Amino acid sequence: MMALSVLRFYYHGWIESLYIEPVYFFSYFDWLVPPGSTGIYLLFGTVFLSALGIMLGLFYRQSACLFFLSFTYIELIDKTNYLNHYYFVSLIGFILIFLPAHRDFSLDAIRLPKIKRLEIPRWTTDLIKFQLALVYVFAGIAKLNPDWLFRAMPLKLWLPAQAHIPIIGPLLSYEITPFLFSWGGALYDLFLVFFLLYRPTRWLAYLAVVVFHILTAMLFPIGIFPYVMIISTLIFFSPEAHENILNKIKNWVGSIKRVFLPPAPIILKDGQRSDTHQETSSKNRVEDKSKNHIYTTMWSWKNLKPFLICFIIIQLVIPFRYLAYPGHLFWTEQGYRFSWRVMLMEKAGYTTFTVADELGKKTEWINNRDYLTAQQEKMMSTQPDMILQFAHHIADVYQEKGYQNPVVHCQSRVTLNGTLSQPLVNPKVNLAEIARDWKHKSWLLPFDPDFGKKHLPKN
Amino acid sequence: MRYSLFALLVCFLIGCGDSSDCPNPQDCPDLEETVDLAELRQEIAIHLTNNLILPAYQDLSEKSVALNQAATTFSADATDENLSNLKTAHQALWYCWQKTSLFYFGPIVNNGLRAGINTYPTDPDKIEANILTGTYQLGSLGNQDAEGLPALDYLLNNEDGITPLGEFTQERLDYISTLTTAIFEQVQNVEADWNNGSFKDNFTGTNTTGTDVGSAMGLIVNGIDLHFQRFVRDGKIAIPAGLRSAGIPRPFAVEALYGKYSTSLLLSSLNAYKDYFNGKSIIRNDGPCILEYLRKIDQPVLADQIDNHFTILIDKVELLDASIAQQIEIDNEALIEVFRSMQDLIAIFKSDMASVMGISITNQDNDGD
Repeated sequence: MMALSVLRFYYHGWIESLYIEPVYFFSYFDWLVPPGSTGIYLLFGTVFLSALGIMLGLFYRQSACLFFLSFTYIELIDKTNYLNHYYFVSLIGFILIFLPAHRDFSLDAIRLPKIKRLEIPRWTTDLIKFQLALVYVFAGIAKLNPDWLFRAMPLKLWLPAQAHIPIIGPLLSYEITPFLFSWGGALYDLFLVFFLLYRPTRWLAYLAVVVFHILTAMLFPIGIFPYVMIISTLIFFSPEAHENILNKIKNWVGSIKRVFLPPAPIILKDGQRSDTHQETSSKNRVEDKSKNHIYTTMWSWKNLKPFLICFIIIQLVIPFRYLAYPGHLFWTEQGYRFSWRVMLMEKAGYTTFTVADELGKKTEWINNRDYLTAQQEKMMSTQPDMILQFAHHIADVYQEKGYQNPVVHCQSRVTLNGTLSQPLVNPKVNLAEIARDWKHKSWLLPFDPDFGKKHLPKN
Repeated sequence: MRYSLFALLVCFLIGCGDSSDCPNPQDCPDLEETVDLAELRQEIAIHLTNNLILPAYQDLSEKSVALNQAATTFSADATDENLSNLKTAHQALWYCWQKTSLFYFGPIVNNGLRAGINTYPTDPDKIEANILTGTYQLGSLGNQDAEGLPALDYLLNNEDGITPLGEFTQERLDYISTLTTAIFEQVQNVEADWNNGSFKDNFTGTNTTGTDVGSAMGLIVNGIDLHFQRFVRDGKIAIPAGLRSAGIPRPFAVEALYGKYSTSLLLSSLNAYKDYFNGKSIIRNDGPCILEYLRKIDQPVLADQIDNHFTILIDKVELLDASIAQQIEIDNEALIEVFRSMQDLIAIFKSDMASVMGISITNQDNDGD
């Protein structure tokens, strides 16, 4: 038996994160053409209101649908903004549509008392646990690569940069620290879920969750992700634990009422009230138990089963799709996104373009910043699919400017995990002629880990 | 048994966060070499401020005073000698500017000094109209291409390089004096901002020794990236060579168009950059610097690469004609070669350097030009 309260509590954390999120997005407004700036504000309004709806349990299913659609839409507008945890939020949003999370501790349950339940089917919370487990385990698997384990990359680059942080700062400059972090992080991701599932180790594991994520929040600019994970991992706790927390919240609200409302006579009433409350809730429990066996809706496991199993399988397969592509995954990024590869690589680069007309009579060097924000330029410079997308955009622009079949070439230099920068794209290829598809990107140059050694500067 | 094993593992995981087997670094021989990078970053900011930036501004300030005085002298007594002195003072200030403008963060950006004193190409028609009407407002956005060093370049050097004394009417002389006073005042403001404002204390203090946006190192690296791209590569080479205009050169867009010394201004700028990376200044030969930092974080190859690249670039520029406008006519390909070399250097800044230093280059430019 799992209590609904689990999900309720979950949303509390979530709504918090939603207050913060728009700050990240606002800065990209200048480029978000598709819905226009009013459209974007409306979208964010929708995300906010629907998240509020989910949290309060008001028009729950409608809210969940709206939340999923609006949030995902925002995410899809610009690849620049892709982050694993936005993807995670989208997925959870999607799952929530199917869960009966509005049946207790919610306004819907007050609005429509007959939907009120104290219990929900186990699969509903299991589904969310599965999603979380997936994130951790895949993140762990992804860490099992030579750079991460044996060169402590990219942490070796990232940690010393944070040496100014109080207390732990000085420790970050030590040679051994990144290795401890790397191995610790990999073990943590791989095995955490099992400790969480196993009741005796649960509290310890959760303590590890809190410490780990607070640490990452201090060290890396990854926004709300740590908090999302800290809160959502709570779902692994037993129903009783959640009911305890909920009751504490209820009591706390009660005590606040006591402080702020007129004194003497109320205290008496309050005492009475809490008594009656207990009575009614235990009465409800009995009633609900009797109702529980007729618990069937269109949202039952039976009806959703084929669909949700597909969902699970797709989830399991997507992170492995990189196996279908040749080449170095981090270099080509074919199959990198949507695969829970979190904080795995330090990649930076500079990619510029020249455009010429077919006959080669006119040539122009593109200034990326005429088209892109600094952030977009930075993201585009290292991600092949974005490079190609931008090259096509340049071709379109110059076609309009009167270039006959514009020829677009690209000069790129990219560094991966601290190796000396090397060209990512073959500069001889006309990118305007390359189709944007899911095939292997043969127009990329292979990654050479020893590039630096071969191209030592002459003294 | 199993419990304690779990507990041990969990403790290990937590322990990774903040413990090290060695609470006291002195007891650990293998950790001796460790440098306190935050401290080094602060030292760089301090050395940079005290020994590079402040002396550069002092020099700039003195030269702007000298220019203003030379203009006053010439205005009162328009002789060949005084004209020659004025031109020398003007040129000296322009060279000095190349060695100051690259510290592109803080007061210089906030005061819009670059746009105020070095917007080019200058607009001769606007200058003549201003002189004719006598009603103009310097410092306004619309007049940026009619004031500053490039406007003086037009007024002091005609197409042949020499302007006959007879052409300096009273109105012209007044305009020159107004320009030199405006330059002097703007330079004073930025210098005062550096010396007295809160920026310096913050920049060299302990609160900005990180690598995040707004940290001293973040400002330094982002400033280099932005300034080098826009005002060195684009301003001095790419735009005149026509690389941003369908390959059609715009020789009139070079710096020092009338004085015809754009190439040596560029050289001065590149040498200043090389010194910047090496921590070298007019008052000290070395000190904590970016290249030292790169070596300390185990990137000696990268440090050498950057230093060598500046040398290679400077060698290429030294082969150019004294005037980049002239070079465009002789052989534009040589400029494209310089441009390519600059692109490579920028790629190193944006990829290798930013990456190993842990600095995000997402310069949101806000200087409005």
